[in-house]
Amino acid sequence: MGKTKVGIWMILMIWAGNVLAQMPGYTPYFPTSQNNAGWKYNLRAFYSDDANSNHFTNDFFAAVNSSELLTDEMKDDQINNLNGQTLTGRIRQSGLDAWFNSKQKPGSMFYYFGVDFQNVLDSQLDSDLIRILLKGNKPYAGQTLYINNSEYLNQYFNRIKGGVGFYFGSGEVVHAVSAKLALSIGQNYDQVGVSGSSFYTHPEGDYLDLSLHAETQAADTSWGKLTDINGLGVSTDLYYSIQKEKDFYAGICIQNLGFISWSGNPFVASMDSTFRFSGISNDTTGNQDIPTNYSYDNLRRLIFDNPDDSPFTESLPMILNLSAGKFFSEGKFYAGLNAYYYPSLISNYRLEVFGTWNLKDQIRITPIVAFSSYSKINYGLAADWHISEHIILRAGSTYLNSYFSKTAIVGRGGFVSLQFFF
Amino acid sequence: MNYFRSGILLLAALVIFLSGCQKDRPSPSWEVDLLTPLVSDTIHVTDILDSTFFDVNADQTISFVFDDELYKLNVDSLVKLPDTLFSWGFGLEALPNPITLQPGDTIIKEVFDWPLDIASYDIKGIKLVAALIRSGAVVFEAFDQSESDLEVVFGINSAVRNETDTFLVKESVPTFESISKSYDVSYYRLDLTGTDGDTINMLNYYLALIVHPDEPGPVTLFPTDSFAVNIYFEEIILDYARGYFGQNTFHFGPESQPIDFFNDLQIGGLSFEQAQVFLRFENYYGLEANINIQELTAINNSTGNQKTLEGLLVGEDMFVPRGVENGLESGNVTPAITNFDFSDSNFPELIAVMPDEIAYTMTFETNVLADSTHYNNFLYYDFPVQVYLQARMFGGIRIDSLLESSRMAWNGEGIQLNNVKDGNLVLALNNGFPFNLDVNLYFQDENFNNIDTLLYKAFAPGALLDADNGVAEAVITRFPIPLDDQLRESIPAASYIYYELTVNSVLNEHVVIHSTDFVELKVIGDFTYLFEN
Repeated sequence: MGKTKVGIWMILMIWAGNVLAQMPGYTPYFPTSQNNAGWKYNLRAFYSDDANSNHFTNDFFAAVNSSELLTDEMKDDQINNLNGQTLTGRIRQSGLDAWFNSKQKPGSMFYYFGVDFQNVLDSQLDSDLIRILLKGNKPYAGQTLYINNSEYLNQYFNRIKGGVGFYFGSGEVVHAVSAKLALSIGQNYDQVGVSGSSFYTHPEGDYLDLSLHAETQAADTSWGKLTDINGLGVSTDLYYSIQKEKDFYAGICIQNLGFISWSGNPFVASMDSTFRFSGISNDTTGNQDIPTNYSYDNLRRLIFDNPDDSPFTESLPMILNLSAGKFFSEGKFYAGLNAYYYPSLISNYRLEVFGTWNLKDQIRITPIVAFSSYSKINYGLAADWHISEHIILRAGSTYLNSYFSKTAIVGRGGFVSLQFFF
Repeated sequence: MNYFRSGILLLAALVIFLSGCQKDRPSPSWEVDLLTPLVSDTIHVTDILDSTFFDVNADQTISFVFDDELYKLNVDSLVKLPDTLFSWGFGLEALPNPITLQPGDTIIKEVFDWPLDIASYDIKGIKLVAALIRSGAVVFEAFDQSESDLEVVFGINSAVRNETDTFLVKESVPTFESISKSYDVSYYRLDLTGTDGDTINMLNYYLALIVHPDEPGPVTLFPTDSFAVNIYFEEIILDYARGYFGQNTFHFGPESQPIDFFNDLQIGGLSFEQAQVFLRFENYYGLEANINIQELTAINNSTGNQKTLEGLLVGEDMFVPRGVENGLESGNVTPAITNFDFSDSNFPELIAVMPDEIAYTMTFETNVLADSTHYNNFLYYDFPVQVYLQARMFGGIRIDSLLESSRMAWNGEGIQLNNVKDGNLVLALNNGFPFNLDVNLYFQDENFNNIDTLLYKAFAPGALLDADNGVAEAVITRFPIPLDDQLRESIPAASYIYYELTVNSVLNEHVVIHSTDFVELKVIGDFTYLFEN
């Protein structure tokens, strides 16, 4: 390989990738034939959801996400589960992909257009913080609650993407690369960090001692709608793989490499304060008022009373995916490893080991064992159904061991996609 | 692939896609138990005790201070002018024959000194050399028993206003008639030293009887004709007098005067263990005197209580030196100030009566040193002898029914009471006063009208006392106020929390107040709150 090719390689390595479907027809659980000779149009709709925690239960998590009333029993059970920091995360993605390959022959370039919608929640909450949030301060009157290393981040953003890709190689070894450039549109960004803080309630409520060291960044604290534009940025997805038919596959992809500049109702503030609140004093009539609204956003504004409304820029939650596997039995069985790394998140990795049986060309079944930052093992199953010559339905979940148990620690989610190619 | 199948698949694809687009913020709700102070107010003892009446000592203890005028000696009691100046009659019986005079001819004209009839009233030994009339009048009566209309000219040469305006009047008296005229003599200065300026109590006059110039022709006067003139002072008040005012003893009382000191205190009861009491005399008069308080009684007309002063100086003469006039008739006087110690008296008991009236009997003996040679006694109407009571109470104090009130801002509008499931408002009263408190607590609207009574006559015991009966430790009393339907209505409607504290000494003890004593009122919310994100 000459220097020119190495250079192109390097550029492509930097500029290519995808997590689930960087290339048409791609699935990490059973990489299919890597060429673009058999289709001209390739369309796909997909949805995936991964929700995890190391302490919250499914029941509690579902009630929160369903906007239900959290009963005392539910709260007490949850508090009894607490043991150190509570990690919670959720990554939801959905989108539409469209590939166009006018030449329909190996090695030819194809084009990509698509949109995706992403929601990334990542939090680490101190046990005392959860206690006071769920129970209020009265049950802990006379005690000092310490709040350390607590972080909450939730963001919604959309992307409109365009890109190119192609296959190349000689003989049985095929290389695939693709690159996408995306206009990233932010709907909502909400981050709060608290560390080294404490909260004390006098046993009779005479005063509150609060030591608060916190910072926050938010845009559109009133919660963004799909059509809202509260930030703009650019990002790229990069993909590269190498595959030998019925022998092995290895791929790397990077998703969400970019940023958004959040400008819609920005709220940036920090607080480093220790104070005793003894009631609104008659001597200081200034701006003190009894809070009339204890909503999340109003409390934020009460605590952080000197916000900066300048736009701020934050990187997108990048995802690095490595996948590799080996075919056996003339391609009837594929065993592999799938690894995800989220460098900007607290819960920052996930590993999957799987094996796929190609029962017949129309149906493939994949048992999966997964382990993640949440320090637990989950089991699941994926299926790949070729409904017809031009339609593939894929679905699966790695949380079958916990999905249906209310008392199990949160492990919920799965994926589904429907693909058409002609 | 048929169209139906294609449609189903396309619909499935859209469902898959759109399922990821739902972005409503999860809004779970849950109940939390909140315990937090809401509003607070701190009252220091110096806030409720009027600084006019209370003073902070070096050791931070607080003394009750009374410094108020008891009595003002009236100038009219000391020097008066007689009502009658003179009566003068003139007859023509000495004429051998009738005489004929032309219009405008003078019948008689006299300039003469005439003494004031000081002896006509009961103040003895007064020798005036000068006086300034503050207000009053001269009444002039003339009688004409003749065939002629008269013109009578009367003047007091000793009475000058504005240094140049000598008192002089002219009146017509018709034949066989009389007239009576009154003239304002305010601000006339009287020189009472006579024509030669070497005597006392003497005024110099001018009087002329003239055939009226308007008579049509000559008139005839007969031996039987006569004329008379009477001159009176009417309601004269002296603004200033100088001379020798004699050695006299004036008796005042029994009489009384109101005292509003305790009304200003807005206090129900008060007593002291120890007191330092002085009577202070400020003598602006230019004469020395002995003052003798024969009886002084404090009267409370509301309660009917009264107490009479007892002490070593009661009934004893108290010598008061004379004031000093800084320039004759200058109006500038340096008073002689003399204090008499009544600390051995029962004045604290008189104060405990919280009188609204003081009755007294006293004497005022003037010129007790009997120096009558220099005529340097003086008085100014505006500068009398003033008697002050100066009392400083220290040690223990007992206070009954001292009322203190204040209001705290309450921003109730918009509080989401629907989210408050149950609970209490709690008034936590941290009493660092050595007094018991009866507490009334109200919600008020923006116009300060009471819209809900939260507490009424709630008793909060006073602080624990130390060996000196000062505050050893504050005592916290908590009053829960259940969140009932009425409170749910009044909380959002209220603009203020208004409180009234009735202050009473602990166990009716005399307690020692320190300026650091305080009461803290705090309204605490103790609620179960439905938190809705």
